Amino acid sequence: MVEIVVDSAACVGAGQCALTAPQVFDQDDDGIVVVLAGAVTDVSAARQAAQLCPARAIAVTG
Amino acid sequence: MSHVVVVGASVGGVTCVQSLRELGFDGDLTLLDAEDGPPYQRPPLSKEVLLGGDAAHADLLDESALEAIGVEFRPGTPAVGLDVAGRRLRLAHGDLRFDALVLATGAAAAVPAPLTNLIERGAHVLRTRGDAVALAAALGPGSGLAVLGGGVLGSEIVSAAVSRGVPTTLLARTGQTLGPLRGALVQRLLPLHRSRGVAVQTDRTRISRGAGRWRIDAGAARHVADTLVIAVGVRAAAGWLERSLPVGPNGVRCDSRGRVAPGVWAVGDVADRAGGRYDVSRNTQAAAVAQAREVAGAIAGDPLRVPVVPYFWSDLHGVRVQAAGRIPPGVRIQPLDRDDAGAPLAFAVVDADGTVVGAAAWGSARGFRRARAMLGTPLEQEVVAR
Repeated sequence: MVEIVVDSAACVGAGQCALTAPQVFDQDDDGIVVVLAGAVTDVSAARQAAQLCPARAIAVTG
Repeated sequence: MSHVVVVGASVGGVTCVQSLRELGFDGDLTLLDAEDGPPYQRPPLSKEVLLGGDAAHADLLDESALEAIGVEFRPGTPAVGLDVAGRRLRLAHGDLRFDALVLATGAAAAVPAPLTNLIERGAHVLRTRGDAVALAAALGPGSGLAVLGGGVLGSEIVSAAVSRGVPTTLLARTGQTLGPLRGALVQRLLPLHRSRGVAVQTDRTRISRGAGRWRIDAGAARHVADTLVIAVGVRAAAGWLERSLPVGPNGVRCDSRGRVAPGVWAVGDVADRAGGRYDVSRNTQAAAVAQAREVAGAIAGDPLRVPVVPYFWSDLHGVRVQAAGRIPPGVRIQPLDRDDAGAPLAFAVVDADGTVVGAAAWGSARGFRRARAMLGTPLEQEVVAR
């Protein structure tokens, strides 16, 4: 099963993740990444979001 | 497709080889770099490393991590030429054949001719890990710093120096830009520096050196510094390709997807992408990462699924500056949110058709998200009325 781990301290609030995989990522009021609940259906979008994160704050394993 | 060679092991090259493996490419992968040591990225060089941290903060990954994914890593191996038709990369000793080549050699600190004498007399630049270690060692609370150039790198160096208690002078232009930001978008920059105790000089200056110190003469004002850094821009590291590929002042010319020639691709600071000139992400790490993923996808037959919105950011004196989209010539800057003093914090960048093509904000995550949500839509009149 796919697991998403984010480093909130490293997050810079770019929001690329939320634009790339909106079913998986959102941002709070400060722009910091929020991982949405539920199983990840679009794994490749989640991986692309991790690859595009300017702060390298997202890890997708499994 | 059996052998992909990637030249340059900063974030563009490393992301490319990692993406290729993640996308299922199982042929041979070689990653070259001219410098010795493990692959590293640049943003920490003007932040953590300059603040006195370990140079290892900039490391991207261990050499063993590359070995673990079957990437042959060859540091200390500069590429010196290219035979495009023959698919051979020329090294200092011998050639390397490839099926696909990704150019990720980045850029070097630009030192225009009138400034070379300053380098000869001990002025610093900041581009490599070695530069960062040398500059960090030269800074200290008692010693004064002057930075020539108030763009992204110069401003970040100033920010780090101030946080270390170093008396700092910034030599900037009156029309100083910050990466893609210009005009009203960058109004807050010099006042922000001044508010943190930086001596900002925008008059023309004469710089000389005497008795081990730098003297900066601006007519009415004089400044003295122990350390001088030149941060006036970068030059794409494409000189070695001039005889084989179309190379311009901004690097190797490629199409909007990074393709240069059959079997040859370019990513990051060395790439001059058609149509990308006004992307806010030009010459950022975010762009190098996105382009590397895109090119890996093209080589591995698994293209990017979602178009990437260009993104730019910089942290200055604890204030996060962010931008998204494009800022081409001839646009109008529409302020959105304002701070308590009435100065604009967030902006929409609007083209001649009234469409929002760019977004920017200073120290306002909410303002940035609001502006970014407008990208691609017509600017609404209710916004203008505020």
